[in-house]
Amino acid sequence: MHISEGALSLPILAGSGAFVALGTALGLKRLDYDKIMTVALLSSAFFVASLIHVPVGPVSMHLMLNGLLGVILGFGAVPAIAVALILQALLFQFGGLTVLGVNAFIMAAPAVIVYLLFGSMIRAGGKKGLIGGFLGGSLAVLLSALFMAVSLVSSDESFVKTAQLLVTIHVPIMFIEGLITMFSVSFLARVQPDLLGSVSPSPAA
Amino acid sequence: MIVQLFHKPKCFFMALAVLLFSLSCNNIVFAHKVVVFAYSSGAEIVVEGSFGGKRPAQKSQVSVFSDATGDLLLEGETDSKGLFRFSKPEKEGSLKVLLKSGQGHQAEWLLTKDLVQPVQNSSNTNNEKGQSTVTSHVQQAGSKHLAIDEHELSTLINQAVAKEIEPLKHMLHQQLNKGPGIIEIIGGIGWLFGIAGIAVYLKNRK
Repeated sequence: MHISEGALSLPILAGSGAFVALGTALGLKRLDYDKIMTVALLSSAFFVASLIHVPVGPVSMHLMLNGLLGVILGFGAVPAIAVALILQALLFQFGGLTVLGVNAFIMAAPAVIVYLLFGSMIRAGGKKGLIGGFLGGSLAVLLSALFMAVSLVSSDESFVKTAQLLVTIHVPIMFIEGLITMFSVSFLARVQPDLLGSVSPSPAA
Repeated sequence: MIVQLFHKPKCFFMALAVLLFSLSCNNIVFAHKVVVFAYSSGAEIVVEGSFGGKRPAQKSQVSVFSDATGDLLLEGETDSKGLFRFSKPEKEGSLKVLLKSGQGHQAEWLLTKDLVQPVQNSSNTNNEKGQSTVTSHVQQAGSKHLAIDEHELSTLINQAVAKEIEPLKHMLHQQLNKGPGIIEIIGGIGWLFGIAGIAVYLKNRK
């Protein structure tokens, strides 16, 4: 899920870069600094998750965890994901610095979207929280695959074909991520309930 | 703040478990980036694409450009082993090899002039000549003493060296392809917490 350098056109790079810069600023502004270690922890989880591969038939996909970051951190997921991607680009040569904006957009925009959609469900807890967690985790993966297909339109691949392929290979990951997010959320609801409502825009801090 | 982290030991151990799990899968495939490597082998140039040491980039589109002019010289597709072979172009000059494996994964490799050139000269021009000299030597073989002319000798040496070196080049490609090691992974996590620490420090100083 990392687009390589030189694969995309300038407007897409610039547009997504602007979104990520804006999202990072917003995320940092809304961040409750008492919870910064949570952000670092989840950022590390995201950073490492890309190295965990799940074999899906002939291809192997890696975990993303962007849904999990989204439902827990809200807008704070944007800086968390951006920093982790910068480090992946610098240390692992995944993606690259010029395509950082696109890669961050693909991962972070779904995180924010699932937070806005399912955040309240998850904070409600109980069964609702479980369903919200599963949907949040899986929808984030689906959106990432779709955003990736959209960003690849400018290169020579046709959208429908790419989107079909990307969504198909991500179906198992959607399921796995849904479960991971669901269990993480229910686990946190029991041991650290304040984490789930923590970085929300509600006037807590 | 760090004290706060230790108030959530379960969280911490969960992250640690994730980390250890990932490190235990050392042989996993890294589909994040595709790597392409091209080398000359006799009269051919071999392009090798992979996603990791052991997983070839199959059916990936290969385009070969002239580095000087940027003109597209030829195109092709890698086979099931991730290999694509083409005979060396007649014009000399550096070649740029671009491999696209789809979904935005692509990689480039520059074959410099000196790597493309020397073998080509001798093998291309000498193939026919070599044949004729060998037959003439066979005809003269009655004298037991086999004379080999210079051209023929250099062709044979080039072929032998190319054959010997090819596995080495293959190994080099696999080395290039190694995924991130434990040092990079732990270093990255250290960076993340370091950045968070600095952010807290700056915030608290105000």
